[in-house]
Amino acid sequence: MSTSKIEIDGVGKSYVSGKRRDRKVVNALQGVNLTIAPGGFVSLLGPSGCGKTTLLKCLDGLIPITDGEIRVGGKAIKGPGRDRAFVFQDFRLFPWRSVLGNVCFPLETTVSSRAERETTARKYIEMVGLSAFEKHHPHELSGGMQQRVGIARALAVNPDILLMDEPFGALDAQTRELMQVELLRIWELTGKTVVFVTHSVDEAIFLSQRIAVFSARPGRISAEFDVPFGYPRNEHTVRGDGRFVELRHEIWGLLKGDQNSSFSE
Amino acid sequence: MNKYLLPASGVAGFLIIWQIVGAFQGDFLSSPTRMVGEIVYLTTEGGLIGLVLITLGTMLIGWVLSIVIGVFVGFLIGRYRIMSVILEPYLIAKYSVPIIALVPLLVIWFGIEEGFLIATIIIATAIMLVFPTAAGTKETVRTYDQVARAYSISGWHFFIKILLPGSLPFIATGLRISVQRALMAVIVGEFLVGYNGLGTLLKDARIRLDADEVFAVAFIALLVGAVLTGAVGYLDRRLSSWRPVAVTS
Repeated sequence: MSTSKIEIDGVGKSYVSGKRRDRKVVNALQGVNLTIAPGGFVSLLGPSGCGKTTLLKCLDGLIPITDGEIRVGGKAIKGPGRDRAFVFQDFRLFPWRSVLGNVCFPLETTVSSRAERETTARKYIEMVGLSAFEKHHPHELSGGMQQRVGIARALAVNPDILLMDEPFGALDAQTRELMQVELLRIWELTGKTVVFVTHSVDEAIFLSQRIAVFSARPGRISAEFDVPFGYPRNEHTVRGDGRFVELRHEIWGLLKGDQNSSFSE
Repeated sequence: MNKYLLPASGVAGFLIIWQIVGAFQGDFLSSPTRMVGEIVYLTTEGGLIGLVLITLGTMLIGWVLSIVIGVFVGFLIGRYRIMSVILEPYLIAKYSVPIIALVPLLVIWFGIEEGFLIATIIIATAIMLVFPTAAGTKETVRTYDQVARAYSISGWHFFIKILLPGSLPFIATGLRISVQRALMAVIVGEFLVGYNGLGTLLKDARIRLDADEVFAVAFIALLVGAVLTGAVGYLDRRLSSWRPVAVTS
């Protein structure tokens, strides 16, 4: 028995790119190791193209890995499963369905009673604060509201693990901060394990317990940081704290160093 | 107001000029009053309404079959790359061979009655559903493939819950552009074989060199086409009501 929820063990992902003579093997991920405790909040942080989203999709089983093993609850994963749910950067809602219909969607193959599906969906729509909008269609909602629907849809399958791929990347700065606070509230309420991909250092520090910093080519974890703040967190106290500034400085230094070395290659 | 005023006065001007010219060269050019007189005559004595309904019925059968075939082929092409490779030469051939060249073949295969007319409609129309449907399918798969897999939706459920609603606006575009074509195809078909319908009236008119009747039939075809286009446009807006562009326009 292990006490980790997720064990990423020597994971590598390589694929062949280019055509004919230009064909070459790209190592998107190489030798990635990471363990995540049940109920933990871990961010995968790095510049674009470093493989953090690839790792997240491997965690969900959307992309097969070519090396190593990913275990969830002690068992190696073979593909997508109901114990994990994915939140997409660009929401990926169904524009032809209402908010309620979107959140009901993942339940339609598993729960046969419509009333039961809607009860479950409404519970999570309420949790993300959209009860007044359940009959609206996505195009009638703001970006922040659309991602709330995306989160409710993920929660609807009652997964142990939420995999979030830069979920607030498409939102404006103010909405983004609001959504961060909301996410922490939902996380504390539900006790899910969250793996959160972001390229924002501030966002990673504000949200997570632990940060895994990626470096590119081949994609691997170059350092891990523990965030020295408890929960519930508050924008002002966290961002004003000296340790926030210090940690931010340290991570930035690491990212910059990585960037410089990849330029000089 | 101006939106209607300008085209309306244009049409009025055209009718007036036609009426004046027609007064001198009536047997060649007919005239609005002669055309209306002919429509009244055909309605009361010539069974016009029955013929319109026959044409419409044949057209609807052929059009619905075209939609089924066109959507099915478009779906195959959009979903499976191998199918687009296999079917492409035939689709290109279909585009470059004039339909009229196939008429003798269709007569050999289907005779000169309803079967021929329906085959003509399908050959002229189904292709107009293929490419919009293929584009919609590709787009929908690209956007929702990972969503479907992340939530373990596959097979029949993927088709019914994602692929079909996702490509519906594209299919609706195909419906809009194909309905006129289907009507034209059936009238031309009836004209060619002289089997029952509006096209048969045209054939009679040609034999009797009756310009009034030609214009009468053309006007009725125009009217039927306008009604059909309006109906399909309404359907299109209903099917795509979730598209933001459709709502704001």
